[in-house]
Amino acid sequence: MTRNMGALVDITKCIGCESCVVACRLYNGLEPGQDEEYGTARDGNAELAPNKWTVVRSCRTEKNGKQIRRFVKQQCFHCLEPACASACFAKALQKTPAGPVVYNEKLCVGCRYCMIACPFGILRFEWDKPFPRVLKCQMCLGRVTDGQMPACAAACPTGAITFGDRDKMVEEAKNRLAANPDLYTGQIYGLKDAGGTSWLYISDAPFEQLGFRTDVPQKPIPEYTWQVLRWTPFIFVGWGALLTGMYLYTKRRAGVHEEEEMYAAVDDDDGK
Amino acid sequence: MRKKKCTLPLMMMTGNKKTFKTGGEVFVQKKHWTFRITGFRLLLILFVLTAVVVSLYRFIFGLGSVTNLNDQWPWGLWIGFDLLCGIALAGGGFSTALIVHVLHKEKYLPIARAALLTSLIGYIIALVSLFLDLYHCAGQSFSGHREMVQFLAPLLFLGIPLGAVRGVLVHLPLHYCTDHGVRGYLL
Repeated sequence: MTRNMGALVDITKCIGCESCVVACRLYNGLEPGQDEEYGTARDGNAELAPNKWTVVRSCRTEKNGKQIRRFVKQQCFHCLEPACASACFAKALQKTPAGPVVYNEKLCVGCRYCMIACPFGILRFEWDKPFPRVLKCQMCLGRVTDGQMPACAAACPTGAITFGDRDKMVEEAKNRLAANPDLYTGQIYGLKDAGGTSWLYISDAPFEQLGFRTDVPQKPIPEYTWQVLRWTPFIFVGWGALLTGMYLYTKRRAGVHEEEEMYAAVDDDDGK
Repeated sequence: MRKKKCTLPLMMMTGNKKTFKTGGEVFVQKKHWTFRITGFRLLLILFVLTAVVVSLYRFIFGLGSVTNLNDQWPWGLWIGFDLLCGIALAGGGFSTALIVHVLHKEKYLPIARAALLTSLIGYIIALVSLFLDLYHCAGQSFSGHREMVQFLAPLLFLGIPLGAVRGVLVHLPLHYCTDHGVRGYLL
């Protein structure tokens, strides 16, 4: 039986050191750009890029009248029912049983449907390449199927990222919230958002103030499209049958009309 | 009720000669194929040459350099205008073909011929845009990584849903423009 793995990020424990960003790049062999600097979490404008699958964003907000600053690690959430994989007709993006949503560049056609579909806006396209790919966090598929934790989780010096079975991670998050109700907001981001995600977050500041999208549907997004798309075979066959019926009907009507005209002409001649 | 006589001249084409028959007279006209370079045609040729240069630029420097799309706007005006215009153009032709060939309103046949030719051109435009957009897929299918089905998939699957979206992206602004003028739409 395959295990459905997940990760829990405790935002209260993150110090913004970006060890995870470096570990991700080293493990996945992502070369930094020429004019790129490390330590972008300091000024809070860290952005995901094709060669940067995880970033740490700095967020300033207020809590109990005091200015606070929190660091939010951002990467693909690895939804339990991913919208990107559902939108991809080439099956280049797929949810693996172990949890990671992985990308196969051999199958990708580069249509960017997945980027439109993703509710979190995670996917990054290589706009400057003649053969572009769509890149995102792969949750270190090789390591995870090998029973190891992803590179970022292994590199975290403060224990802000916990990795294990998703069910256990949910349990762990609930335990932490219960043990320290004054500190945490009491919400687990990713428990139900977009139908549930493999990466879960707990925080001491409201998630909407930390740049999380709190307006994503609580149902799996492919469910919405399925409500319409399941009618496809019926509409396909039904529409074809309707048009065939109309074709035969109008053809017969024209034939009858022509015949009537022909006999009408004969009748006219007889009447003369 | 008699059938009306056909008053249009009967036209026959044999070889490079056109023969018109009207009543008793017969005209024979030699077919001329000329392509005189008028100012407008010169302008169109310049447009085509510019497009060739721009598409070569795309194949070297990527899609972002010519479409100005980014990760926040992965489709934008590029898909909305470049791809969907061709499909929208084709839609009208197919509707006319439906009127003539499925509903048997034969009197519109001369329009339907022109409309279907326009449809063909529309889909060729869409195919060219798809080729410029999904060069990735084309390149890989030529290098033998993928099957033919996966090469045709974008043409089938991208075309159908985008055709539905084009109503919003193309038709609505155009209708609004005709009702209120371009100024009314922009302001």
